[in-house]
Amino acid sequence: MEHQQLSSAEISFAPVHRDDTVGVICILSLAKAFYIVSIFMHLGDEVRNLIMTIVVPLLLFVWFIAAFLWDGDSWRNLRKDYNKGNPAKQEHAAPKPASEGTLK
Amino acid sequence: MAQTAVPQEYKWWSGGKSPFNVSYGKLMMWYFLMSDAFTFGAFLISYGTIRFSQEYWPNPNHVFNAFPGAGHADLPLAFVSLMTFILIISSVTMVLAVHAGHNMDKKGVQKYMLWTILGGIAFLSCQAWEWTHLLTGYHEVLIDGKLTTLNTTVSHNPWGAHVEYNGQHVGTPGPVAFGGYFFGITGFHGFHVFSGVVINIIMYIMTTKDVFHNRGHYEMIEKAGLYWHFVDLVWVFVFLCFYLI
Repeated sequence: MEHQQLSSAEISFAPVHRDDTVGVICILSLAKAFYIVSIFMHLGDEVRNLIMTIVVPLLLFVWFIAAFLWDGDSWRNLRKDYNKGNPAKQEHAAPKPASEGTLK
Repeated sequence: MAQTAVPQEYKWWSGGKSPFNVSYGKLMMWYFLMSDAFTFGAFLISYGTIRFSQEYWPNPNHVFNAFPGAGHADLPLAFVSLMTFILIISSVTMVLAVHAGHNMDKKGVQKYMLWTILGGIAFLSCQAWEWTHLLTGYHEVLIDGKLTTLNTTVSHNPWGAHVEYNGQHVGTPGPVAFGGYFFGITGFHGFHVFSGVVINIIMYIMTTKDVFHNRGHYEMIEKAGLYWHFVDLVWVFVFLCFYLI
C-alpha cells in the first residue's frame, strides 16, 4: 500500500525512506515515549489502579490509528480512480452512477 | 513519592482514602494530560489520514534543511534535532528540580527550575526562527505553465513534485494541507511549551517566596513537572510525524 506509482520526474524528489526504516523509527519513538512516562513522570511507581485508569483509555488509539489511516488510504485509491487523465475510468465517471464496481 | 509499603490484603476501594494513592491535584493533572493526549492524538491522526490520502507528500529532508547562519547549506533535520535536544535537556533539568524538591532543597529547585525555563524559552525561540524561515522563504514553482515563487503558509506549499520544464527540473505546488497541519500542530505544541514556561515561572516565584517550604512539601513542582514532561512526550510524536517519517 505504501508504494506509490511515481513518474520518473517525481522520483528525483520522492521520499527516500524505506518502509523498514519507518518501522524502526516508530518503534524507537514508542520506546522513548514509554520511558518518559514511566521514568520521568513516575507513572511506573504509582499504584496499579492509577496506571490502569490512564493506560486503558489510551488503548483507543490503536483503533483510531488503524481505522483513520485505512480511511486515508481508501481516499487515495478512490481519487486515483477518478483523477483527470485516467482513461480507464474516465468513460465511466460522468454519466453512470458508480454502482457497478468502478469504486473498487 | 509518598508510597508506603502496601500490605497484601489492602482494600483500595473500601472508602475514606484515594484508591489511587495520590493527592487530588496530581490525579487531576494525570487526567488532564490524558485528555490532552487525545486532543493531540486527534490532530495527528487527522494529519495522518490526509497524508495517506495524497499521492505525493513533501519530503521533510528537503523542507527542513536550513540552519541559522548556515546560509543555503543543505543540513537535513539538523536544526529540528537541536530543538529536540534542547527540549530533552530541559526535561532532565525538570527531573533534577523535582528531585531537589523531594530533598526540600530550595536552592536546588530554584537553580534547576531556572534552567528548565531557559530551555523552554530556547525551544520557543528556535520554533520562531523555523516558522519565520518557512513563511519568508520563497521557492520557484511551476503553476499553469508559468514560473512563479511560493512561500510555505497554511494556503501555499512550494514543496510539490519536481517536473521537467524547458530542460530543467522545477518544483510544483504540493498538497496545501501540509502547511495547515504543520503550523497548526507545531503551533498547538508551541502554545503548550509557552504555557509550561509560564507555569514554571510561577513555580519559580512561589519557590522563591518559600510557599512550598512553608507547606512542608514541593508537590507543586512535581505537578508542573508532569505537565512539562508531557510537552516533551508530545514532541516525540510531532517530531516523528512531521520530520522523521
